Amino acid sequence: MAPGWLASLQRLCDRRDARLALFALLALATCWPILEQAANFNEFRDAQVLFSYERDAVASVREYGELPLWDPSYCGGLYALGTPQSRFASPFFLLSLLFGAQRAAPLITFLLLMLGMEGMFRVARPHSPGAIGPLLVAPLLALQGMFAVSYFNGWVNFFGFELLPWVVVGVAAAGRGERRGVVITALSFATIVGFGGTYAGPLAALLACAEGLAALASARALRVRLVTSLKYLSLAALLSAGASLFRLWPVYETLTTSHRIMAGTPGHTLSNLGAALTLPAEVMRGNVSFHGAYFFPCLLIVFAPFALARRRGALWLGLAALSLWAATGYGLGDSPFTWLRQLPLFHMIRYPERFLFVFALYAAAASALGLEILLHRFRGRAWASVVVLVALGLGGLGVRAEVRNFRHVTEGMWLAPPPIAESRPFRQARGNRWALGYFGPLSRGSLSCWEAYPVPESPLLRADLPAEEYFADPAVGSVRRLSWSPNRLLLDVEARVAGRLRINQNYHVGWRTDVGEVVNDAGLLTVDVPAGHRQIALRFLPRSAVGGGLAALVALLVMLGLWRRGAPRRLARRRYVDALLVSAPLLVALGVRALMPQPAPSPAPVTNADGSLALLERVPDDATPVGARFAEPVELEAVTLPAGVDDVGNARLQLFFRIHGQVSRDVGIFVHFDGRGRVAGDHQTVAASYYFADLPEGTLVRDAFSVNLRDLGRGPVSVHMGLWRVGGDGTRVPVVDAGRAELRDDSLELGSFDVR
Amino acid sequence: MSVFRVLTLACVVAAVTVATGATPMPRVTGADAAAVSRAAREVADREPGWRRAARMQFPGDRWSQDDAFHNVEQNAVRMQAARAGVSVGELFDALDRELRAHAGGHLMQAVPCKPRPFYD
Repeated sequence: MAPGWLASLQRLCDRRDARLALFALLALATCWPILEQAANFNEFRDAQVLFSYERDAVASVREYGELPLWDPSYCGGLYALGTPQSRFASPFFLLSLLFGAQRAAPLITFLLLMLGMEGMFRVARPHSPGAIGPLLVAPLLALQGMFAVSYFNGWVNFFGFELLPWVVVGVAAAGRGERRGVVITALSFATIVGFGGTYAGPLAALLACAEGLAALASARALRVRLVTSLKYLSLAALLSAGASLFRLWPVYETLTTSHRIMAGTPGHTLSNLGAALTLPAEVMRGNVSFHGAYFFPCLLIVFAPFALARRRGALWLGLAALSLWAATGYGLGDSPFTWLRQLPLFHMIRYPERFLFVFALYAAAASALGLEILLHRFRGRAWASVVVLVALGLGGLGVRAEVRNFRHVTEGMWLAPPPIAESRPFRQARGNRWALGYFGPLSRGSLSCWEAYPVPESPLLRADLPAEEYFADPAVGSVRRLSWSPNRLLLDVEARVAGRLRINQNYHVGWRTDVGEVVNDAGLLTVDVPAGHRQIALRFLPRSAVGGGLAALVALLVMLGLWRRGAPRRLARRRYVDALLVSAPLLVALGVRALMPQPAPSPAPVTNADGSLALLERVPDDATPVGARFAEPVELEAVTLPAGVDDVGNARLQLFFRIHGQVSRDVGIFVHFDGRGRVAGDHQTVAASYYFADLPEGTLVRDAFSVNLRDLGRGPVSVHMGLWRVGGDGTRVPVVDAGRAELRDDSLELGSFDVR
Repeated sequence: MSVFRVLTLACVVAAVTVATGATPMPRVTGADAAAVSRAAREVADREPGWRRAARMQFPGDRWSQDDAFHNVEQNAVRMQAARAGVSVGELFDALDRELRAHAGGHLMQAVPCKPRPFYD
């Protein structure tokens, strides 16, 4: 075979239009079944919630002509921009507006698959002698099994992972001193964040750091001044932050007002991860198996060792190994995942296996580079043709397996006809989060709520009110709804005396009124109105949406300016102009923060799972003092034993702990209920909300929990408790002073009660 | 325009055409209002038993109890809907009406969302 055909193939692979045509064909072949099912409704539980966010956002714009800031349809109303998993704050929302949320989902998928392939090509290409390797690995990453699972589960926001390669591309270019790199980084990062990148966002930040360091390290080799490289990387970071503020600010507000603990030690063995990467996925009882969940049949990895010949290849292989290790989580003891979890943003990350995507990215890049290095060595020889043919075969087999996997998984989806819709006055219903998608189209909200964080939800919300707006005291007067939209309410209020008007939605600091004062009444949206007959307008306009939105607009203008070659170049002759330009979004946001008044958001009180307050000023009067101290700085001050069991056999125990210093991370609580047998109530988290280690010195915390004692039968039950080390050797923490309790084997006998 | 661009464009057009032209699965219809109300009542009447089971499953965990109840409820709604020949959405709507009309014995307040610390 003549090597001429190889040169032609290399040139073809480098042609953007040819690549995009191939990527479009592959994306179309992959998405065909989901495109055909675009009109149907995904019944999977997560899809119900995530789809509803998008549907409600579309309804806000299409039906009411409003920005989708407040979503009244879920959990009694929540800040739509502040909900980390909603995906409407991205350019892809235009497709949802155009075609409807339902039909747009597969189209967005189609586009993102294409973008993912092109992004991966661009990651690998600058470091490879040729384009064949990068072209072959591009679809292998973009069609990875994670995306099949994501579509099945309705996690369309997870397709933001397809933009991770673009972050790498942008940072690499910025590191070379290219202004366009700054723009690509900021645009891709902001899109990931806006698209609900709960995992993709933090991972993008990690990838950007890795690529930034690599760029600095190789600046000299690329004949780029270190200062220039550093400058453009800093500009990329600044502009990314500014461009993402429209989402980061609201999400930050939300997460700082609702305390969430991610307990547990998620982990995997290497064989588990191997199965996730190498086996096709199966749909079993409505769920996708873990094996195949990250299906990545990259047979081209046989070429990866050749990548070690270059520093970049060694770096990619090292990062791939590090990512694989991170994906084991706590499975092999400590790992990069467990270290990352100590960081502020990363402590919210629960699932380590998502690092398998990062592993795939670096493994794919190293495979492409290895292949090209080998081809380079065989330049002009017949062996080169053989290698290319083998690579084409291996790549083709991998892509074929991935396309089949995607189609197989998505054909197993639980689909239903689209829900019936009825336009009528909105009101809250009890709803059902497992079938949430049925309520919004019926103009009904769902108080039944699930999210990955504790949504600030008022216990005063009701699903049986005659009217959604009413006076807490009916004697005060009457209210009539004049107009309603998600962000705006117009009410006709007749108040005989000043009083408190209730709206059957959650409170948020972003609600404003033109009369009276908006008040947070146990989490409910209420307005203290003066006496008299008047119209009252309520509108939702949070500062973070205004500030973040304006910052994003300015960031877009800056990006346009940086992208164009003319004016910015002239401007850049003046020192600091670039820095000023990319700082502009952040300055705008700071300006809005200073000028737009808004009450500070108050965190919702932290509660036990039974709703009782976790943090107390003093021990309740009815508790029994104990005063036991442990070898860790924890004191069991008092206890409230169960009086018995309730009608289903549940017994409620309250333990009151005082923290006297920094407690070790691995300390948990064991509780034994001994009767005719034993029921254990061991738990690692205090008040279902904290590790002991999170609680500052001096804190008094109530740990209230219940256990079911049906299996113990009737008779006396004694209660024993102590502390133990959940990790490590699992030993009990010694009791140094038993106080008023009996002590045996570092277990305190707290007392007994009768089960009748 | 190169043949490749035409091909890319053709793929995009095909994707949009297929997605916008896709026909939805047929929706179940035909049940009279009385049958729908009856089906909703049957679901509503079983609430106390399901709540009780949820309390045993998640002692002292209010949100998990409510969430477990709603899971059982939605399964029942789907089964009743299939049995009564009514769409799922229609039955949920009827259930809402039923609960409003006969709120006694039903939990009609919000149970604030508090996801469990452990899921692994």
